[in-house]
Amino acid sequence: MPAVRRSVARPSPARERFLLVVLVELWLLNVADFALTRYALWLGFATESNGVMDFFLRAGAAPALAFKIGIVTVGALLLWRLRAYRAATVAAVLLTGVLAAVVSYQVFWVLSL
Amino acid sequence: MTDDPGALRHAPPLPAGATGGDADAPGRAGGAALRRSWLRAVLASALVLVAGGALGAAGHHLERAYGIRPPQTTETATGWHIAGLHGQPFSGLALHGTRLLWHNGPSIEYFDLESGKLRLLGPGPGMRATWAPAVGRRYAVWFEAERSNSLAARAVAYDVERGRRWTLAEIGAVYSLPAVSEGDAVWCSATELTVPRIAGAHIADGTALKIAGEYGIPAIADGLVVWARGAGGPFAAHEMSSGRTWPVVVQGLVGRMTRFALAGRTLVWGQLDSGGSGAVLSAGVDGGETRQLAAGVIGLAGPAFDGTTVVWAERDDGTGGSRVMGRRLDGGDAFLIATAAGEVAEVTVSGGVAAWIAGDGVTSWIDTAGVPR
Repeated sequence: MPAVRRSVARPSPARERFLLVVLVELWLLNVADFALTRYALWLGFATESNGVMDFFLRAGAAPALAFKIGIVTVGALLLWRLRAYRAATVAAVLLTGVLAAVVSYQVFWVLSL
Repeated sequence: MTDDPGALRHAPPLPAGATGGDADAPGRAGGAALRRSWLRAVLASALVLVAGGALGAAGHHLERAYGIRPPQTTETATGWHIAGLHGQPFSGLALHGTRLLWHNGPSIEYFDLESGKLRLLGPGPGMRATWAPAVGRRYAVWFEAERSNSLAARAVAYDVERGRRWTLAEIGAVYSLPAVSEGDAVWCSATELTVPRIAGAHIADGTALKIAGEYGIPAIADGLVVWARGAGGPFAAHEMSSGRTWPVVVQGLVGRMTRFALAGRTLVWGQLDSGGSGAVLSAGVDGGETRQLAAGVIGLAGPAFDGTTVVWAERDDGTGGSRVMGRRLDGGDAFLIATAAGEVAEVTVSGGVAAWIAGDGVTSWIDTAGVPR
């Protein structure tokens, strides 16, 4: 019985490690996204199309950074808390993949300027 | 054993070297397994990064290839050949040193003749209309608006050294293209349906410049602003340091002006008579003799002037193409810079390099060549 309970409450250690690394990557990509967005805005070649982020960016770099890092940190912690569910890993992988695509696009875009 | 997270919390693996003797062999094996497990996690997550990164790179590549479609640039024996892909003719050619800018459809494109790098500078987000750019030693300036007939155009500046663009001024309705010299830009525009006026700005800090409360097509060189009061002249001048404004007296101003250029205190212009025959002339803005540099020119395009060489293009009836011609203002006859296929629409010159826009009615291209010494 305890073994059955443990298997429900915890993912396999391998998946747990994978999720942890993916969430760390997600967090780092989020910081890179913020830095690249700020740089593109400073260059004058872009505008922030996300209304919420635009509000915080207008308030200053520190509030925008606090909001962006804060919300992704909370989201990552939530996914970590839900790590027993395979969906949490799938969500983390999807989010990280999409953010990697966004950051990659931004890097190529900035390099093309 | 090591796959149990609970066990990991109570007995973390010791670093290599911290254990000793065969009695710790199971611990070393467990540590190795743990490292392999972490390595697998890192590699698997790296695959996620690579897949996402490839998706972003592919998206950027597709957007460049099919959405933006920048011109093709090719190095030639004489300079560069830049061919448009849009089918819309290039216009608004501007050159300063190695910096070549032009207007391509709605885009403002910038090509560095030294590095061979092409950049798209405009239009900015939300803007669909642009006007031909001007470029100086450090800054380029052009206009952008949501529509070409907008009464709310803005002047946009680009710092070539820092690679940064920003809105320089809200200018209202566009009446002329901008002109740039060092840190100043001038133009003719009208705000709030008032009469057009010649105004401008210090590019670095945006401080407004008020030149004259009248219509004109301005040029600027080292703090001296000269404008044509109409398509056939006459000219007026304004010295920004003293605030003095005076009419520029020139002789032989007839017909329609093709273009005029200012360098130092010398004005160079081209004009077409009623028969379509062109002439290139020069005069000092402080008065004095008007010199005829070329006459009887058919298919005149230009002229451009960089302070040393006057450059223009003319039709070459022998080949059906064009000739790009030059003449030094300090003496000597006109000389051939290059022959060009098609009809040349615009020319420009700076620092010993001439550039021109030519077309055959279907496609448009830009060529550059060195000016013979």
